[in-house]
Amino acid sequence: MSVALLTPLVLTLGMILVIVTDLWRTSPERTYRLSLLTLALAVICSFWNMTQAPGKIWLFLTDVLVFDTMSAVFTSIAVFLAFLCVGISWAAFSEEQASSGEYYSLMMASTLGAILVVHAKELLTFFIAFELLSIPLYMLVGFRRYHRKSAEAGLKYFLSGALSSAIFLFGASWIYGGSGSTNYDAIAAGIGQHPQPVLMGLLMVMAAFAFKLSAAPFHMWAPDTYEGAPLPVAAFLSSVPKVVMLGAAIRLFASTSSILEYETMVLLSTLSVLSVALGNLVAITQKEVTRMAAYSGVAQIGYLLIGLSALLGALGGSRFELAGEALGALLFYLTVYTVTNVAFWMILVTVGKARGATHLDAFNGLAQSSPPLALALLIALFSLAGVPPLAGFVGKLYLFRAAFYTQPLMAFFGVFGSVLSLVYYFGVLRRCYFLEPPAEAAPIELSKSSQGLLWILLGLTIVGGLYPGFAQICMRVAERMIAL
Amino acid sequence: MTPWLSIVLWLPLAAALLIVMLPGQNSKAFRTVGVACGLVMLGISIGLTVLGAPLLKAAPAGGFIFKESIPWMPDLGITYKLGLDGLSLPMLLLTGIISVAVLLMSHRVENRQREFYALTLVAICGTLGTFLTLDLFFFILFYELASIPMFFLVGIWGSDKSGDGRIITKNSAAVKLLIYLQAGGGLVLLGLMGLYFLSGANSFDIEVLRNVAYPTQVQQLLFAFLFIGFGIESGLFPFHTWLPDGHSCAPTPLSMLLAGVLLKMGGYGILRFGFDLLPMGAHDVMPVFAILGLINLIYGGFCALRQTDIKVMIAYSSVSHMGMVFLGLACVNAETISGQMFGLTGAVFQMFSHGIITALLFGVAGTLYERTHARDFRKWGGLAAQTPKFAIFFVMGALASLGLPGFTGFPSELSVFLGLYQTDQTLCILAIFGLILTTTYLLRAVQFGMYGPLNPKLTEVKDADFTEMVVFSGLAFTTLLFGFYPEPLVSIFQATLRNLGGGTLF
Repeated sequence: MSVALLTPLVLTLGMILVIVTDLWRTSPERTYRLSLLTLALAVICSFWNMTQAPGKIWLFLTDVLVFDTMSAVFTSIAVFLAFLCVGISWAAFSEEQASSGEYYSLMMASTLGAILVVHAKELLTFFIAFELLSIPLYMLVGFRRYHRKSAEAGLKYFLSGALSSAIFLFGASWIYGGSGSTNYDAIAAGIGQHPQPVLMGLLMVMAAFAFKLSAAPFHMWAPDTYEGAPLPVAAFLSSVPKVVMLGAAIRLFASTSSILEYETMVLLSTLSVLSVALGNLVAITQKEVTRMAAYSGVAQIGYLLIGLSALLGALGGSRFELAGEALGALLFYLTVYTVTNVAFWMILVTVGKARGATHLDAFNGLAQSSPPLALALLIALFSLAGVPPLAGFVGKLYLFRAAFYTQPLMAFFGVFGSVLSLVYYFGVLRRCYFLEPPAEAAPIELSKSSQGLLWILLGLTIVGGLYPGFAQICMRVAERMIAL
Repeated sequence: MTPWLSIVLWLPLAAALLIVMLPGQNSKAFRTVGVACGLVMLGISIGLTVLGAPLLKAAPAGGFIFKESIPWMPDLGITYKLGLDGLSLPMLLLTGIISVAVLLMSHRVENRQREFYALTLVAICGTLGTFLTLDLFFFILFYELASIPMFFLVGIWGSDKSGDGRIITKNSAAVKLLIYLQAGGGLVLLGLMGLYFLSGANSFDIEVLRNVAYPTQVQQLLFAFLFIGFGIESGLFPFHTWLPDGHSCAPTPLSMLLAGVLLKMGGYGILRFGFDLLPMGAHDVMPVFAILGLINLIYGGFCALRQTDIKVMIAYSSVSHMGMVFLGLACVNAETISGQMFGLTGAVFQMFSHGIITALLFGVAGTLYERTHARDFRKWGGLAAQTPKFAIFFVMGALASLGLPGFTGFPSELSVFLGLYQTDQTLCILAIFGLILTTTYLLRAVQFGMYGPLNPKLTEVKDADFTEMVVFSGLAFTTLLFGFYPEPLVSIFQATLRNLGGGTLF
């Protein structure tokens, strides 16, 4: 138990420490180092916790937060991603040094909220954690307030986020009215003869989840926000909230799936079909790479939702072995996708800083002006597009295999979507490799540490594809989760 | 036992890595490594053909030789498994020959040579892998390894087609090629996933899956997926439009590789996965697709007749000739009854023959384009007077392609027509009309390009150098050798064809 509590504790202390030291006008670099150290510690704690296999531990007022394998796994992924995003902040964000104390403490606050989201076992606690995740992000997105696009992005994200919170609360009230409880287990038990109010509530809660996941048709905020937000914040936004919201969705819907299996499956399948189709099609037309990344993120969430609906379908039918497979596939693909995604954003950050823009034209001739970076981009995009033998492909293979047994059509649909996605991923690569660099383009230099980090991440995507061990770990973990 | 197949398969990839890591910008070193790798591959593939032919005769029906097998992802039932049978052996030989030709012909590439050789070698590795692997998962992997470098090779080192008719830029050609190859790959992936999921055996291994009896309707559906997917890769009408664009914009060595080997992956895939794993599907569905093959043959011929750009013309002639392969495959139904395998034999032989001949044609045409800077063969006018060596090989290529006896084109096409006659006489008569078209457009190109008065602007053009002579005469020798004496090659794959689908087809 003590180990499980360490991660949030470290994050809280680190956050307070950053705020306090900021009072003495510590140098921005020291603040950066302090927050990076905090997050590194949190990563170590969370991984240590994951190896402990904690069983179920109830905490606070019985049944409010739950510490189990699932929360341990999702915490580890989220904290690791947050660590990476904070890591790339220094290079991308040096102009904001004056307010670095606020920036890093907000990042850590949001990470703390993200962790609590997957621990919540009850709707109100979930809501508090959800707000703790979101409110710092509203500020972070609009952090370059003097910059028109950033301010606009902040406002847009805030308005749509506030709307999603409201919808969530409204849905939660329906669920409470229909079942008499806000606790996930008690909801399932209290549904009784008339599931309609609970179903209505679940629909609205799902809409709120879809907002944060940026699944179509609730994705409208994503392109504008990604475009305007500071790049490391956009990287954070496109990975950490998605991981934890997916974890929270698994927790909530898995507990109700035994009763509302068919309905939730239909809802999720609709979301995923829309996301895959719309995300992939619209991404083709984008000229701004950040916007393209947003739409491709919509499509990727679509693939993950295919896995989620497969999981719920298997759970609802009490086919636990299949459910383990689906959850393992989901975990593996989620990890692979978010890690590759952050690597992709690292490259975006570097190019954006060196060439002053993240428009498609900024990538012209990258292969000639800085070959290693172009190669890194190639690997990242290949993995995102699902080109074998990279981890992205193996992840999709597992995911579609899991979906095949419950919804074969969805698997076919996913494959079609992946083929479509090649067009825009390769559109970027085409610029990198086919065109000549602009005359004034200087080679882009990466610092040693970020270069090392980038290659470790990309090495992981290659090894994850060729070496089956990682996927097997995910499968074992998933079996453990299902068994509980 | 030495794992010869793994050696020949991974050698190009190792050479590519070596080239990437070589210090300096010494283009001679890149070339030496590339050509040496190609020569070793050719040596191994000839050795395996000579050693393998008797072994195959001794092997049990439907068996593989030189097998290697390592479990890879046991969870998913993926095995790294290589093997040779009568189908893959000719393809191995073809890949060996074309690889050397391609690598030798790469000396005219001027910019970014390191990347060019590395990517070409990766593509060769991928292509060879698709022929050697016995595991569906690895097939997909190698397929991507073969097709994705093509995108870069066409886009970076290609040339634009200008002049009469539609203008094609290398940029659009590369994107088109990528989308079509990936769409084909997607359909194939769906078909192969279907094979995997519906088997219930949790295995990607061909030797396991061929023992699974899929229901007839499933077989028909999956076969249609596979046929169209592989068809796209081989330029099946109406999905052939990437082929003229891609081939004509590609740099010369790459045109040779694309038309010589990559195009054969489709036909090979149809036989390996469609016919062998889904015999009932092939039996029921294939005759329906005969009509598409006929359109390929005739329509491709008419398109070629209209071209003035030599590379586009050869590309359309490939569309036309691949139609012959599809027609040969479509004979399966009647041949099941008669027990003779003219059509299928012709189809496989045609794949080999077309690979060699088109590589020769593209090699000559591409080199002439680089020398004269004209792709319109009417502007060549009377080149035979200036460059007799080129003229000899161009005429040889044209004659081989139109099916003159003595070249491989003749026995392979004759065999397809024999099969077609047994299947459907109307189809056969219509298809023979395609031969007339082939003769017309090829001889037209020869007449306008090589004979007549010499274009005064071309008096400075140099004749073929030593490397080109080696490549061209090697290819010409191969087509003559197996044209006069096809038996050793044909006997290799005939036994395997007879055992397709566990012997249920014949």
